[in-house]
Amino acid sequence: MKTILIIDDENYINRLVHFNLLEDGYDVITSSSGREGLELIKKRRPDLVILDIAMPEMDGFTVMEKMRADDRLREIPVLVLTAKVMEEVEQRAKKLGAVDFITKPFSPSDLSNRVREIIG
Amino acid sequence: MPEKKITIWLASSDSENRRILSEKLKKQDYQVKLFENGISAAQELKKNLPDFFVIDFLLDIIDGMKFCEYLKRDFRYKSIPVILLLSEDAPEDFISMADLILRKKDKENLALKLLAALSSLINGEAFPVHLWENADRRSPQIRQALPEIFELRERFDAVFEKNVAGILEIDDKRRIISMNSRMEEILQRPILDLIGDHLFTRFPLWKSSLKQYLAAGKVTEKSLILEHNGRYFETKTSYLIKDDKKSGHFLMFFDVTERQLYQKKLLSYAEELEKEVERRLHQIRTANSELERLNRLRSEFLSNISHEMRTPLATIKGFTETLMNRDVNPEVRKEFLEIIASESARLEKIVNEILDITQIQQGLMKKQLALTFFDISAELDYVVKLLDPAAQKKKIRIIIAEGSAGFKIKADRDRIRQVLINIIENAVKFSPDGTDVILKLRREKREAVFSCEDQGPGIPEAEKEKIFEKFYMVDGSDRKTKKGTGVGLFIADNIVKLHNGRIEVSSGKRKGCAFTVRLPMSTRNIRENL
Repeated sequence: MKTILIIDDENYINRLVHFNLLEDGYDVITSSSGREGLELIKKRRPDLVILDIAMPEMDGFTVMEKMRADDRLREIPVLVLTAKVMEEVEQRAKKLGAVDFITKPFSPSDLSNRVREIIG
Repeated sequence: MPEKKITIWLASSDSENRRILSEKLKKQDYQVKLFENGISAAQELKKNLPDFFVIDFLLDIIDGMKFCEYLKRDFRYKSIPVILLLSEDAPEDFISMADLILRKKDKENLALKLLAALSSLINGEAFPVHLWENADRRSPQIRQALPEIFELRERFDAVFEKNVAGILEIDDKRRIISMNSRMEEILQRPILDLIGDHLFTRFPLWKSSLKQYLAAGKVTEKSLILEHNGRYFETKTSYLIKDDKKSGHFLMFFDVTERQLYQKKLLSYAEELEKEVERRLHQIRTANSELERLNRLRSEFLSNISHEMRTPLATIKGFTETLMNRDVNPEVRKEFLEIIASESARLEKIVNEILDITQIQQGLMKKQLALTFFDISAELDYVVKLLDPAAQKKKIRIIIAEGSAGFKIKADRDRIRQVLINIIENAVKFSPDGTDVILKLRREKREAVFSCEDQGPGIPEAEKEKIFEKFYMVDGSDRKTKKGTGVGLFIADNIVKLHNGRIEVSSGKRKGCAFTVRLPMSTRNIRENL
């Protein structure tokens, strides 16, 4: 079973994504901070990370930078899910290796489709 | 009592002449003082006066005739009888000032004549005609014989004595040698006071500029402005060549005081103008950077508020769609509906804040104040209960350390509640987990005073004035990490002001900060002040 890690400081978003992807048959874990999320990535090596950008202490960009710097984590695909709609945010995320970029508000079924496209 | 000896000063560069004449004079019991050149004689004049002055035309540095002229020009010395010794062939017309001229036919003869002249002067006798050799001073023969010399003399006078410019002559050692009467006027000093003095010792203020100027070694077009006694002189120089060497300078002084003062005035006007322009420019720049800052705050607010609204909207939309598309059991359905309700409230709050800002900006909020008597302590209890769940998530205790039960004020109840919420919510938001937020409500004179102290990071002194600005969030890491629209304190501040009150912020006792709200209990004057 494929494992997906959701990192978002908004617990309701975590709950929403968790519920939907669980229904889709994935193993889902959540984290509400960048720092804790990064630890979980190292520990659990998920098949996909769904990552928020604006978070206290460690934001999504930093999480991606740390992942890129780590040979074991570099290949894990990242889907960015953010309320930041600016063009430069998307560009920076893509530059840091995000495979997809979804802005909030979003449709959970659309998210499910995109996740399926990435990890099957 | 011995009679005081008659003093005779004898100035001559001819040493033999000096020797013979002084010998003869001393024999006749005159007291004699000898001078080799014009400068030493002039310097001595500052200390003593002679009874008679015997001056040889042959005199170094300042010739005898000129020296004679200076003496007669100076009211202090002009009564001293001057006997000028002139060589046989010298034109008489040179002489205008001496009291008596003696021709130096031979030295013995000269001495005899001098003694005779002195004794008749001393005894008050008229001069014997044969001694008065200057009787026919303007002999036509001489005039004919030496026309070019006279012409030269007249020309020199026209240029030197009658010049509108003050002219000052210095020798190669920068000693003052001569000057015209205009220069004496300028310096307010007779020439005999200055002769022989070093120019820069006498006029030290001129030294730095003039020294360089004289050293330049040629007549320059460039003029120099020198100051003396509050007047300004444009100064030009020319120089004297003797034996192929520069032997001195003529300095010409043109009074340009009026022009200079006018220029100075113009210059100071220009400076003032420049300062004024700079001041205005600074104002514009300040205003501009302030506008830029406000503009930046505004766009930050817009991007911030967009983010703030998108998040609850995402939750509402997401859970709604999930409830429609998925098979959800009743318990989870209830959970999701509660989330939707809570997030709707969050969204509503943001929308209300935007509305409040618009109202404040358009001056509408004051018109809509609904004033009633209500118990502010009960209101505080209510707000604490409202915010407690959120605080407990961070293990923060909201403590009412001092409260006045039944404390009634007249104000807009909903708006005051909003103020309390905004301030306490803010304190909870910025407090570290596990700390206390201390609230106090008390009565001071005719005011209700509410204070809220937290142990958060505090507010830098420089930012204390800005925190009540709309959209402002204290800079630093918190700007990115703390949620919020940045308008809560702006709205609270405006509400309190509409009630004639004020919000103060100070540093907390330990750390963090303390907000104090002062509200007049009676709002009798509110309407008038709006």
